[in-house]
Amino acid sequence: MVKLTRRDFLKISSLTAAGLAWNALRAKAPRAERMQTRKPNIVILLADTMTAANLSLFGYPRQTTPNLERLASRATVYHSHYSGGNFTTSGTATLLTGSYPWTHRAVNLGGLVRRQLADHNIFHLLGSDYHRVGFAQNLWADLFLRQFRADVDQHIPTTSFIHGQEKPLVTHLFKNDPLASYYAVDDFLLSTHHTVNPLSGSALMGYLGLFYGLSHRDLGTADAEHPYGMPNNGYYYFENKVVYDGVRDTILELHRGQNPFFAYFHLMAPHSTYRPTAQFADSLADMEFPTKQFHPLGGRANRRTLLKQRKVYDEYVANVDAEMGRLLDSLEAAGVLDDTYFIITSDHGEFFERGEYGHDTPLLYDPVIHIPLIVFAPGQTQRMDIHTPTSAADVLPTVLSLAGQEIPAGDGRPLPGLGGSVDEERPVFSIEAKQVSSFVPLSRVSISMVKGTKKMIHYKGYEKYPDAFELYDLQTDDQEKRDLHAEDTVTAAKMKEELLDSLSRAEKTLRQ
Amino acid sequence: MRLLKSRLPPSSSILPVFAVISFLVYGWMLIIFFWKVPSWLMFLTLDEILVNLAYVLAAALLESLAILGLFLLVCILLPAAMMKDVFVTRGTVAALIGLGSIMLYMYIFSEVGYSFLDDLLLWTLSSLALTLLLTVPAPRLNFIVRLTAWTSDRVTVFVYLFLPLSALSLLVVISRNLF
Repeated sequence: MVKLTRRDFLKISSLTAAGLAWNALRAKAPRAERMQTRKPNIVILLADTMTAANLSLFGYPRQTTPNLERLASRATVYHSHYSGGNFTTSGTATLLTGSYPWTHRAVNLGGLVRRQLADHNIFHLLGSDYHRVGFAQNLWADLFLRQFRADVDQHIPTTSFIHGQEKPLVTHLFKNDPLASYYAVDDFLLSTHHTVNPLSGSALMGYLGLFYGLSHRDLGTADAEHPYGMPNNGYYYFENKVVYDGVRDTILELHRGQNPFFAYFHLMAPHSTYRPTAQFADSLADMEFPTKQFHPLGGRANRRTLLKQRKVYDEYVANVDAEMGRLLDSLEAAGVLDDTYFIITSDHGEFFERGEYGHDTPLLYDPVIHIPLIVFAPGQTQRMDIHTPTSAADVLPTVLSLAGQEIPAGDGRPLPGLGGSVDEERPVFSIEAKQVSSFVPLSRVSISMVKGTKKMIHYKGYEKYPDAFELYDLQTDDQEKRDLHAEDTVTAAKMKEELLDSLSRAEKTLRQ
Repeated sequence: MRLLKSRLPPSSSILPVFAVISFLVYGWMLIIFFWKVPSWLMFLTLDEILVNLAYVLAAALLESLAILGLFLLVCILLPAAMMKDVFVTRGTVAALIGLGSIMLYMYIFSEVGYSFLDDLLLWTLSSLALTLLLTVPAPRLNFIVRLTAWTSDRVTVFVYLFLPLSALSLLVVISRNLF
């Protein structure tokens, strides 16, 4: 038997203690090391159709976003942020590719990004260092996740977190061919969409689909919690609370993983039809808003309708704001925001003026293209306000800059305050060209150019309003009521030249 | 097996009925397809549209076979005299009335833009009743027998066009989803 001296005992004891301490430290080290060396997580939360014009965070008189105002005290708020287009396809493609619609060419309803540019997407450029996740409730946004599927590590099905389906969606069964199966099956053989495809490609499948839909309609009927009915995206019903809980759980799970993650959540609300819950329905007071003249290319809805639509929309925005507040509070409590950039934005705005409501319009006034952008950076404790015009095309280079990746040439540039600098001379464009083929020059197009405090809108190819230019000073006339095109001829001529020159340069890239 | 043989009509009777069914199914799909093509041309390339066509033709084949399968199931369930021996006449009439009523409803729906479950149920029951009403006496009416024979004979030629194209399309769809 080996005899232990007092010295041996002390040696063994100290070695054992050191070993135990080392083990304990080693277990904690990766987490601490990871915090210091690994790339930051990045989350983009996109609320579809959220106009900055109706958010109290940006000065709207109705108290629609108390939670965002509270949370913004530790975020960077961009006050003049513009979407690439005025509907989902063009606006989302600009965000995901960092290019304007005249470059990415996803300009039609349900269109795709130009094939040559498909690799120029945020998932691809971030690279495989990141675990890349995408979820879109809007089917047209989900198409981009399908188009970029080779670069998306985790594509959360659009039918996740739902209450029940109104129309059958079957393309998730075609995992290897998600684009063709969407266009051929969901959008053609089954669809009975009143504008996109009023007649289903298969009479029998359409008939059976109609049966299915009508027999499931009670899923969306009004109840005590949903006085206007359950929110839906045209295919399925969902509860915003459940969706936001699903987003939260997904982020928490991603945060527990070993790799840094990039997550893109494209949520449907507050897109029409506006369905606030009982807590928010009829919660805002009636209010008057400036009257504006009808536009030759606009609708003819009366003032009462516009006010009514605006009010329900505002209530729905307040509902979304509450969910966002709940989500951010829970992520903060879980420590997710300590190492995660959290970006809140939208794909386009919404309109309640000039006889028009919604966003199915060729018009490009601020309500339909001015969108929120709020960025929560890890460790940020002070609010920062950026007033210089920025574009949704800037989000991609900003994300790449935050991730330490190379930024390829494109229409966007890193945002001021997040790697970029303020440039008052830089023009920011928004483009609408639904009625033009994405393969040919834009013969019928609306283009908005914001530069400093001035904004020019150009309408090209419309019979009712041929080759028109409008000029506004957003500093003195944020409601865009006074067209200065005929008064400030010097500014108008300069901006017109720059706008047409930019259009011409963009058209040249189409031939490359 | 013997029961199946005794109840199922001969292939010479099945083909004309299948021809009528596929003529209606393919006809509708192709008309709507070509109506849709201009909007697809706005943002889809030609090869992407051809892939869509492959899905459509494959779906048309499967749908036609499914409807024919339904008719053959009725043959198995009913005594031979009621269906097997008069399959061309009754099958053609049932296909024309049944599918025709579905197509008519979908067309009206596209014009009106909305529908209700009660309307749809009523339409379905009425269509079924009408199909039965016209199918039952059809074999006893000579001009209907001659008309259905003439019609199914004329449209059979399309089967020889649709079948190879659909088989190829089915292969395209299967290969795209397997690999």
